[in-house]
Amino acid sequence: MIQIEAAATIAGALAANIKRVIVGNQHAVEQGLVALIAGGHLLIEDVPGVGKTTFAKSLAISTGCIFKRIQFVPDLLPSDVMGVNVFNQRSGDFEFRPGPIMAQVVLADEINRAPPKTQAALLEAMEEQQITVDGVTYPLPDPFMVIATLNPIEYQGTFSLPEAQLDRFMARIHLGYASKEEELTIIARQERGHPIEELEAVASPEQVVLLRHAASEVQVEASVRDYIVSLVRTTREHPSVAYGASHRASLALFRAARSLALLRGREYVIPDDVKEMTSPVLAHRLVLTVEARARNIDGRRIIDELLRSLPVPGLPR
Amino acid sequence: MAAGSMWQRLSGRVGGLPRTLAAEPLTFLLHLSALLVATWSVGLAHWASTPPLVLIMAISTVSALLVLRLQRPLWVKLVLSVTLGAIVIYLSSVAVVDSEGWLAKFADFNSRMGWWWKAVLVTDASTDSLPFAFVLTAATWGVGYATTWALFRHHNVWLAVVPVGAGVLFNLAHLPRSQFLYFFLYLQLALLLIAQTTVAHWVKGLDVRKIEHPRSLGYVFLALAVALALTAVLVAALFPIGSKPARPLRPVSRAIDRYVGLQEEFQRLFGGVKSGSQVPSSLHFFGQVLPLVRPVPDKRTPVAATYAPWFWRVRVYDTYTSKAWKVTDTALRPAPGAATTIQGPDYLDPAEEEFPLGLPIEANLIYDIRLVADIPYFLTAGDVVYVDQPAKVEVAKAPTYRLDMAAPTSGDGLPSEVRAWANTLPGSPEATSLLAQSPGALDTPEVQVIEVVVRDPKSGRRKSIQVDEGETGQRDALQQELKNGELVSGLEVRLRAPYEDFLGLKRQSRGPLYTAAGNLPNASAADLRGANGDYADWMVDRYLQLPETLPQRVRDLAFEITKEADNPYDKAMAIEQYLRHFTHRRRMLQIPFDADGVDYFLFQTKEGNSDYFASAMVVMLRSMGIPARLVLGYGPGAQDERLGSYVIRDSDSHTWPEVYFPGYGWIEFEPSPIYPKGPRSLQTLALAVALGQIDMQAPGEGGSTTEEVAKEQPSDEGGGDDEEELPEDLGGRFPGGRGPFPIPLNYFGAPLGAGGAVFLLALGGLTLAIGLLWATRVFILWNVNDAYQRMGRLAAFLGVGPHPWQTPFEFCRALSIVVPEATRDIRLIGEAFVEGRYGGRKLTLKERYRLLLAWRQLRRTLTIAGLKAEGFPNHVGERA
Repeated sequence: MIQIEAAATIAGALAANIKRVIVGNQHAVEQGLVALIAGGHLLIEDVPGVGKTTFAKSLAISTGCIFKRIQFVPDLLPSDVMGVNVFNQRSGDFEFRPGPIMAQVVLADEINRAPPKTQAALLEAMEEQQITVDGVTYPLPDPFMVIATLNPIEYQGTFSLPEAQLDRFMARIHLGYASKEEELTIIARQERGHPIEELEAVASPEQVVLLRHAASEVQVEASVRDYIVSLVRTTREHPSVAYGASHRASLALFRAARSLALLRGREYVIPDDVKEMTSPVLAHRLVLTVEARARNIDGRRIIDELLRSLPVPGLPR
Repeated sequence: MAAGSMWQRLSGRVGGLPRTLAAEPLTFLLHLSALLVATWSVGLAHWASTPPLVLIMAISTVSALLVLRLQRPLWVKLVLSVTLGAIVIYLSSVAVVDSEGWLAKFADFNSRMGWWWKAVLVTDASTDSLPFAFVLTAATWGVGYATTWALFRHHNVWLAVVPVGAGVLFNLAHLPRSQFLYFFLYLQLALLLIAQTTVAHWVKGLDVRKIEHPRSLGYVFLALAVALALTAVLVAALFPIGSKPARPLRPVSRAIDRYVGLQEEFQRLFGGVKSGSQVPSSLHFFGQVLPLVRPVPDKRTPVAATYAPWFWRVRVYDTYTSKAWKVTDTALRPAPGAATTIQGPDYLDPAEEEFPLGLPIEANLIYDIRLVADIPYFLTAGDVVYVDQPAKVEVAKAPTYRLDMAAPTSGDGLPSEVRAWANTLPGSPEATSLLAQSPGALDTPEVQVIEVVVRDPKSGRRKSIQVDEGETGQRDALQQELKNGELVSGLEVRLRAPYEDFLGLKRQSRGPLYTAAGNLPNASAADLRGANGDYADWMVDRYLQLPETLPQRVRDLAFEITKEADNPYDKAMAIEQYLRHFTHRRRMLQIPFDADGVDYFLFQTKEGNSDYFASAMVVMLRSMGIPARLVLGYGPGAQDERLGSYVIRDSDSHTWPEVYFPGYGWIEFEPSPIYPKGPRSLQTLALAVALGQIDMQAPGEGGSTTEEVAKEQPSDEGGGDDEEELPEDLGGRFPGGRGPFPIPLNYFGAPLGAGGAVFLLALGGLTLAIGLLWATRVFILWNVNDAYQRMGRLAAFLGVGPHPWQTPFEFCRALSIVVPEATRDIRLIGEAFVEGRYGGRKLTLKERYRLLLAWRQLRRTLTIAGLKAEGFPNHVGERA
């Protein structure tokens, strides 16, 4: 289909563009892009200084989207995020001044440092793609994506995100430390200025919408669907998992797989796409048992285990 | 040794096996069982009283294997084998001799073998069954030894199976039908042996290359082989086969049939050997030797059909050895056909006598016969005057004498006529000029020159040139030589007999229907009594021959019987009368190896078949100085009511004596009590007159040419019926027809008949179907799934198969790590599969072809890699 080919080209260009800035974990970069194309929100869990902000910025710039950054602090108020109604003396009316959330790509830095109320406000906005201030609903722009970051080291003074809320994020990626060569490359690239300053848009927000439509045209064959659902269902049966992934997760994985297929230039999803997106999409949704937590088993390990044991259906033997 | 290694390579190619294999106990067991079954079946045919053949076979096989396993050089093994074999064969054969005490056994054995060997050399017949027993024992030992050697030293299973199978098949002809089981049992065992050796070889090959396979693999295949072999054998046993060879196969069966000529020799040399349940037909025995001990034909197989109820002569025998009759020194002349006018024998001046039946002395019998069996001679009555098919007359060769031109009369033993003639010979130069003008210049009515030896006066070189009649080319050559200046230095001459003795009429074509005319002497008893005259020398030589070993009491008996008679005719009648009191029995008479046949008949058994009656009469007459000879032929046959013609059958085979009366020729007598007594010619003529089958014209009185004789045939109206009633063709050509050992192939009907052709077709179709099925599974890819699937399976077989949790690409990647040289092909197949499976894309023809090539290449690469590797890494599911 011509649409998909064109879309694949755009997606490829986006990926390439972002990679000019982000050195290191290329898979994560693609996964983040996938989240964008799939119309979901991204959670980046990482130690500080590995390029989370840079990533979000490059994503926004590449897609020509309006970028706003929210630094979450413990005394952040919901109105700080969403906006306030201000009384205009001249007109005698209340004017709504939108908060930073009124953007296309919103970076919510250290989301686990905000108080639950603010978290809730953000999450609600993510869910419904609109905000309500003083009874008035303001729709958020399209495309709208929240990239939240999470610092796993600091636990002091944080309000850890409820696991249930984690479910709202389509994918969780980890950028991680770069290899030695990559680190050298980073230094080399930033010898004179930051590459992001030279980054230009290679797509427009409308094209992102196009991408999303294209993704919905990608074929998913019956056995792949079977695989997706089986994967999700199996997470619920794992002994170390108290609560497995939900139906939302199936959908998310479904969309994510399609988007990845599009990114790879294919009109159809193959099980490899599913496998690649399973960990980012499912790992953060698993609620582990106490014993598992005690033994430091995390969701990623469980997903990896799962991927290496669940038979891929529909293959000739 | 280059030759040795070449042999090894050759035998390795055809059923050869690696050395390590063939010592498998199962192989040996199968081999031994097969051989024992074969030997048992041979034993069942009761060829002769032999030592226990099965035991001999077992001993030979086991000892062959043991000798092979000795760690000694080859020549030692060979010597050992030969010595062992010789000892066993000799001892066991000697043990069979029925004499008292071992010393006597040894002595008897050696002497009997000596006699037998003499019989071989002198073209005599032997009725001793001991030599055959010896040969059979030797063969059994030899076969057991050789096949074991072939199987365990040269590792060639085909050599071990095919010859024995052929032998079993041959022997089958001599077993009753119920024993055919043995052939099928042998077949089953042989097939199993072949399968077992092949499977063992294959399994060993797998082991050597360290390919994992279930331990039971060999046995599974063997079980399959059993099933397959059973099926094959059942089909072979039950499938119907036609009775005649299919037309395309006739040349094959004819070629095979030729070996039956050997059967004559066999019968001659091993006449004492019973041939089991099969009683052969008479059609075989028209060879040069007629053994007295031969199976008696009693089948109802039709031989010929005719309207004339005569006695039919086929062949004449003149020399008696104590066990058989022979005919030697014969020549072939063109037969009197349509182009020849014949003068009959010039017996007496027709004008002088009165002849019985108002017939002239030369009465020509006319008859037409349809030959149904394929025998090489025509059935004739009387001296043949005319035959309308191409034929050659077999005549007794008159003796020839060599004369040297320098001293022509110096040879001894020259008959008076020849001597007289030699005296009149001119000297060499004059003879030369005479012969140069006309090669027949020196011939007289009594003496004929048949060969001239010329000498070149300058070089002294000699050359012989035949100038016989019919050698016109040679006659011209002679004249040429003589004109060139060569001189005649020697002559070979022949005495012209009053006529040449007619011994038989040899067929030259295969046309079954022929018309002939024969000349019967027309003489009454009184005539014959009065016949006297001198017998010519050559006749005396030939027809008064008796072996030295003839017991005196035979001669005495002959003298006793004939002492009252004073002329040859009465003597003959007396002997005939005497013999007619004996009992005629249609069965084979076994003559002890040291007895004379006629003596045995006259004094021991006093009963036998017509061979003995006739032989006895001829022998006794000869001992009284009366020329006589033996005729082999057929009796009149029975008239078929429906057809009206006389059908001569195998069971009508008969022998009788003929006695020479000067002036009249050969007169038939009948000492066997089953037919009316002789002399016969008058009765035949009378009957012929009654039937109107006689030519009443006397020669010389506007004597009919043979053409006219031929025209006066009774019309051949009934001939058409004969055609439907009697089978046209009874099988291939043999020297004498279907002999005592019908070829097993012919017994089964034919190598292939219509049924066999269908069977072959079905077999071919089945093979083709299986081949196609296999080919499609192996060679053709129906769809992409196939390639990926097979790749997975092949990888699995080699230990690097896909894990269930692996996606196709993951598997491809993993496999590429293990077999990097196949990366391209693996990727191609993987991509094609994924595209088709998840993307629903159909491949184009070109892509399918490329896929096929990739698969083939991959298969090769994978197999080689799999066979070479010690083992593949265990974890092939790791991500790159």
